[in-house]
Amino acid sequence: MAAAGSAHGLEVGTEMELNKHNFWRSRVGLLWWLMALACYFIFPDYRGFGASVLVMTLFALSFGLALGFAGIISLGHAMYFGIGAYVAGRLALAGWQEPISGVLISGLVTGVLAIGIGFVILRLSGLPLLMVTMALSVIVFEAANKATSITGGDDGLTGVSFKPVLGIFNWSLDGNVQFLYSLTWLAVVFLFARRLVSSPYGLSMVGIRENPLRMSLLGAPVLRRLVVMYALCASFAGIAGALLTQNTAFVGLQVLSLETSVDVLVMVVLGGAFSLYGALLGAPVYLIVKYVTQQWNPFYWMLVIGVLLMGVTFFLKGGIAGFLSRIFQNRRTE
Amino acid sequence: MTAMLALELRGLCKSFGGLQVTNDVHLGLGAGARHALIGPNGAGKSTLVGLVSGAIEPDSGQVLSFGRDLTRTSLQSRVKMGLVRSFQITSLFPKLSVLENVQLAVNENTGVADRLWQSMHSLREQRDRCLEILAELQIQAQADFPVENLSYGKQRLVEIAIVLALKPRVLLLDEPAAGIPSTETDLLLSALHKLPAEMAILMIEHDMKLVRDFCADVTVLVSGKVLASGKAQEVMNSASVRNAYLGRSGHDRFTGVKDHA
Repeated sequence: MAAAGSAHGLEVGTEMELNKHNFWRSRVGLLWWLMALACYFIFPDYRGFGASVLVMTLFALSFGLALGFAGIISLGHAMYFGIGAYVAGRLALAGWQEPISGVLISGLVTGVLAIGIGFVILRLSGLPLLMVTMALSVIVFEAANKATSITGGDDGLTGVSFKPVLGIFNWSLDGNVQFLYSLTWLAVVFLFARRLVSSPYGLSMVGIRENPLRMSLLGAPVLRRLVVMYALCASFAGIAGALLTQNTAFVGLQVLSLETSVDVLVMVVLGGAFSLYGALLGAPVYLIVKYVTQQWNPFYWMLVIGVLLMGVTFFLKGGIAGFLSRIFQNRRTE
Repeated sequence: MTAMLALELRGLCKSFGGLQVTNDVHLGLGAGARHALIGPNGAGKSTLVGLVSGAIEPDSGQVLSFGRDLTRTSLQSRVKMGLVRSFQITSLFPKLSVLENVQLAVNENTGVADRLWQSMHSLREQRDRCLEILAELQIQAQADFPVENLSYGKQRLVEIAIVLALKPRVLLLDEPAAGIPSTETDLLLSALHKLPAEMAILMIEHDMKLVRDFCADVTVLVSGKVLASGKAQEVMNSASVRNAYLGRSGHDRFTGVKDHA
């Protein structure tokens, strides 16, 4: 019954709504993965684009976990994405071209970095935290811009190449390997994240989000808990960044930009911050709408995204994920 | 002898700027004590709770529990040692269910809250403990309700459930009846009576009826100083206490002449 059912009481309103998060735990969630796989076969010409969508989805998942479950609001998450991307790139240029270990090392580096940063900045919350994370990421961006010997500056890192995945699957221009490789990483991180949010640790994160002072009065080491969560999320962002490098064989400064941080925030809000599927829905919707409208008119796509975002915020409580779970819940109770 | 005291305050002093809010307060609670702390507004009751719980650091004096000096011990460590407070203004996790509120406390108390890689399902022992507490306070029927949907009186019971989950040996109850409609005070009182007998309880309360029904000892605090301390009946009948705080009607309520004054 309730212990697992109400899934941390996220956006709960009425008794009837309480179990709606079972929706995402049920097999309906599998649909998402089947659809992702179906896209591979239905749109063979778009596998490269699909791979980039999956990478951004993983990045959005890492951000949604911090924002939705721990209440860590940030405008600097691209910092970890970008650093992960550069680490994977530098590793490859230094001769470490095995992709899977490259991804893991990038995730480890960003995670460890986030432990140090987290202990300082997570004493803040809300708007001050937003400002500090933004300032930090702007500084990192500028530093990367100047440090041309490491990052390639404006030109980015070129000539990056990787060994075949598992020594068998060769990277190709049509994006076959990229798509399936990214989908696999996304699934692995997603399973980890799902385990995390249904653990006692995950519940304590929600407790900290809702009432940090009371949590510390229950005896919880609030700062340490937040830092661990932050480091895990940074590590996932670093993994996403490394995947981007491997998929595209290139690292550009854009990965560290403020715009990337804003993008990921918009994706998560669009999809719904309080559900793991929020990121999984928000990122593809955002990127596909962006792609399609850019084809239609390269100048007005922001307008479409803006209207979409306003519509979702005004009319869909809990983003797309919240909306879908309500529809499902209503159908079942009727 | 003093080592046996569940809670002992020795000469606690605290001033904010020029204002002496706590002035040489001595107090001793044995195991199983039911002790009321009363006094007019601004007497320094809340400050005293802050000093005992560790939220405020005293200028001088000591806080001891079972012979251990906790004066410099952090708030969290005091909670782990069984010195727990409840809140005057209900401070819960409003969007979470009643059960989840209690689970948070039980998880912290049993040291499983740091586990990243275990499902809540598998924590059978913790779950049973939660349900046990809810049953004891008769709020098990609301286990799945978000706390914010409950009546104020029921929310106070959730507050007590959380506090119980922390297995306190010394419990500070900060105005448990504040804001509860009179129809729900009985609910609260019966919950309080079910608290373990060996637990030492220090209760701040304005409701003289509740003090009479629940507390054996009373300490009166006025302007940061202990005005009187001792058996409830004696303290309440003393002339100085009546002048300083209770007044005629307060005394009547305590003696029960007018239960619903």
